[in-house]
Amino acid sequence: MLTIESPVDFDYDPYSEEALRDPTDLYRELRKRYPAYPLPQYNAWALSRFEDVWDVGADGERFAMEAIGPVYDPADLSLRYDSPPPEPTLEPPIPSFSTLNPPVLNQLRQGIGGPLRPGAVARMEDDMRTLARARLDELVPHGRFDLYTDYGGEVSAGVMCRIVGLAPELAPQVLEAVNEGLRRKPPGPANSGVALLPLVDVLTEAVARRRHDKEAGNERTANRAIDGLLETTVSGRRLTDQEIGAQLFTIVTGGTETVPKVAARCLLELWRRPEQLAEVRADLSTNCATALEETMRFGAPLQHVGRCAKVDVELSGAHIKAGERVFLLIPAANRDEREFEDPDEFIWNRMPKRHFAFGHGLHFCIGVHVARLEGRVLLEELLNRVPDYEIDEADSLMPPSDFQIGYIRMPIEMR
Amino acid sequence: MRVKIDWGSCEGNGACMFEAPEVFEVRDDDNLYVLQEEPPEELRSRVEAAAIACPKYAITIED
Repeated sequence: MLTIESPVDFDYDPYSEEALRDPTDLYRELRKRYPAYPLPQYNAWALSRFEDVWDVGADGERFAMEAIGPVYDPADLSLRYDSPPPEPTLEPPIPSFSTLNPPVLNQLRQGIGGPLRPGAVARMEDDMRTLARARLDELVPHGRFDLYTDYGGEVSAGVMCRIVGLAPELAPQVLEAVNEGLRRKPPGPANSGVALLPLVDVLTEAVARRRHDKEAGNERTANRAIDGLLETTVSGRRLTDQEIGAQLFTIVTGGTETVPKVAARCLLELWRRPEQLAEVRADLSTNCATALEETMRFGAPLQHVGRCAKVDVELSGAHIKAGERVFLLIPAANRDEREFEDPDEFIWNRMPKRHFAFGHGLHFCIGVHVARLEGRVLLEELLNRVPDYEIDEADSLMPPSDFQIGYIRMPIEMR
Repeated sequence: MRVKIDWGSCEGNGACMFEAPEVFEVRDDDNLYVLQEEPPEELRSRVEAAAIACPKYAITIED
């Protein structure tokens, strides 16, 4: 039985140079030899097998979210508990739902989630297509553009602006703010949050305006995300503008930073495999969704989310004590040979029955339907418009990160 | 068998509807409707599959 202090003959640290650049080989070794790898310096274990990652994600009884949230800043990991972690405080201001546990987690998700539900998202499809086509009208004549920033990023930010009631003209600035927040300088303190403050303020001001309009009975500016949160009661009181702004901020960043990376990655993997691209092109309206799902399994950028054990748990030969953390290594789980046949192969029509790119359980990605539809629209519209393309791999950029390892620059050239 | 929904958790994702459409329906208003609160025994395996498929674990089955 491994304890967290057990020495092992294999070096892994989620914040090492190698792990930040390309952890694929490390993850394979972890799955094989140390499915629960002790990280005493962070009071944590790294879990790499699909079944363990899935089960912990689903297990809100034995694992909780700490106040430091699901995406660890190494500076916060010196906090240690000898017993269950303290519940995040609900004194104002209440932080983002992504850092909370039930019941408040569910109350906030119910409040914000109206426009993210499947029917509401489906009704946005025409708008998403209009946004994507407008970008392509402008970009394609240039013969070369950046898939991440110029295309997917702008469309994603535009969709999120619409969902939270910001003017569509703000999309480029929203994208810039989100990208700035992603620029990390590992391994030190990751994201100070300073660069992102303007976006939080912009969102908080949008809440204040809507509150004023709503109280005046003006339904013209109605917004389901904001209105839902204005009507939400937590601990017997309503939320402040700032608290609602923090919830909106989470969905705006989540919705802007990931989908364009996955869409670009899909176009890269298909370009590398012309026979697969030809198969996808045979029926774009059906096949883009399928290829996108495989891309999420194969190369979704988020590296890990964390949880803290509330009780002692035995898992993959490890004795995890109450108060110890687990890193759920998402890309490791999504390449687990115990779950997927030939996991390192990209097979556009694999149709995995499950993967962990959206998580699972209490914190299941609240934007899942937006992500799936928007990714599909981005692919379909581009492949419809562009009969043949090259990716400039030499000029593509995937910076090292302890958070999201994904392409933030990927030039595409029309042929 | 009796189907119980944790309405505070359910977010209308619709995974249950794919597994057991006779029992679960997420309509255009994005809300879940339980069509049969006490489904017949022959639907048990599909209702169980729906409970497992729910990403929010909002479905429980009482015998």
